[in-house]
Amino acid sequence: MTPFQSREALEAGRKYLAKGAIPADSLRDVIYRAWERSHIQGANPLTLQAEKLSKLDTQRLLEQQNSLICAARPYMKILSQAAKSDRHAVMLSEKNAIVLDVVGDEQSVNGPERVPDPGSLLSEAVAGSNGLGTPLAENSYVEIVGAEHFIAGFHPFTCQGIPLRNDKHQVIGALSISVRQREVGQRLKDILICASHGVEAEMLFRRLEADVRSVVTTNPEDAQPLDNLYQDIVQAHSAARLRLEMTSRLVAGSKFDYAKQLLQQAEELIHLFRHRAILWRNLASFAETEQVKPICLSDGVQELVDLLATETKIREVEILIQAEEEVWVEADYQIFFKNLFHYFLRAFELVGSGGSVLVKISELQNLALGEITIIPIPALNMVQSKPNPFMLRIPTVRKSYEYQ
Amino acid sequence: MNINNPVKGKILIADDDDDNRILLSILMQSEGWEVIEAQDGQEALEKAIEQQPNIILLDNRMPKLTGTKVYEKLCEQGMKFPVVLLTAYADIEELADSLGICYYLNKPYDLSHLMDIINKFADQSV
Repeated sequence: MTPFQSREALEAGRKYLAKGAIPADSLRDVIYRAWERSHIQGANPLTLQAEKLSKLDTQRLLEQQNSLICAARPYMKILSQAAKSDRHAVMLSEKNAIVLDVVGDEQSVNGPERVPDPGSLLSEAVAGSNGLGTPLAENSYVEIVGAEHFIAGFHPFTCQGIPLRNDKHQVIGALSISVRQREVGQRLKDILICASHGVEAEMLFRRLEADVRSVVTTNPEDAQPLDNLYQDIVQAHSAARLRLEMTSRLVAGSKFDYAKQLLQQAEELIHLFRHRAILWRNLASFAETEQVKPICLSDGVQELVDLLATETKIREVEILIQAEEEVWVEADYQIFFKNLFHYFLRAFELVGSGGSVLVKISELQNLALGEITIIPIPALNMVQSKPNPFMLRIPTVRKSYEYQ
Repeated sequence: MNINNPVKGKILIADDDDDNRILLSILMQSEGWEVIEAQDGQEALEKAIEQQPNIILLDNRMPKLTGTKVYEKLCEQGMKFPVVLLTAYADIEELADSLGICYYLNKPYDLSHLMDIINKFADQSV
């Protein structure tokens, strides 16, 4: 947003107050839509209606939303640290824009001009366009600069917010940061977006944490390998948080170039964690639905081999993959990976430290079958007869589907 | 070494994840620590004996020896280093208590929490 657009927004506000109509050509589209919703729902541009839950209802809400609050807290602190020397407030809301938590500098959180505290409703109907209500209404990241806020009391702030989603992609809340200087807000944008993904990953992590504790009863035979894999998956999540925290320290110290690289790594690690967490939940039979779908055998094998990378490093086992062509099969995703996982574990036991596992992927065209052969090649010091290979045969599909 | 900070002491960082280990090394160096790195449990054990660090940051799940095994082997040799164990193992509290490891951090951990623990050791070593 340019200074010109900022003046235009201020002018649009004046016109709206004088005539009661929103000048469409003076506002960015996203802000125009927000003002329109605010106007229709009865927000008052001159005063912030102090709608707030009672003390008891606030307490109940905070208890209900405890897992989201706990998941978001570390990331709110990271964001706050990045804005350290400037006046700022990082806010978390639930899906209806009721504030759940606030982190920021002393003046913004506890001073006479403090930001709305937990229990305050910041929907557009009450607070006009703002950093929590508007991203929730738009279902995407939104920045609102100065006079773009519908209510005059918010004009000193630049606010930006982003919705938070659960693993079913349902919106569960929003995360925002409000600062006094726009340039401060701009340098925090990427950290806010990454932090929101971090909160979502943290929610998934907490679910996995509960899952891994029940693995002993639900999967007693696989409990140990699943526990090991869980630890390897969490490593990606932990590494992402470490990078995000380092980023915020660097940004606070105005070291932006390295911060940018770390932030990108953090995003990639969060993505990796989420992807592997889904695979782990399938291996541990915690996934909600069984799903038959097209699988590219070489991609599927590679995915599991990547997941087992630390395990193979610890066992000192090498996996070699031979795939001459792309073979597509249609299989139950959960059963496919569970079978493959068990074969790998058995092969690791057979080959011992220093051994190899050869994976051959081929297509039996006459039978319309895809075939994975897992050949254990024991280490030289393993005294045993040549182990039998493990074989997985699955009907092929002719069409090359895009593998997710 | 950060020239603005005198050396606080030697810290051994043992983690098989190269990127993580390097990142922690950069951070510790900027905080004034002399850093020694190890990429598996065996190397951590050898470097601990050889270099006698003031504090050891031990990842638990590492090739050759786990972090807890490294700690056990050091104890067997009568070497009691301050150790911070970093782990995603769900039942670490019980394991750490049984081994006498005072500090462990469950992954994902707060970097500020880790720094608080390390700075506490730095104050003690001064």
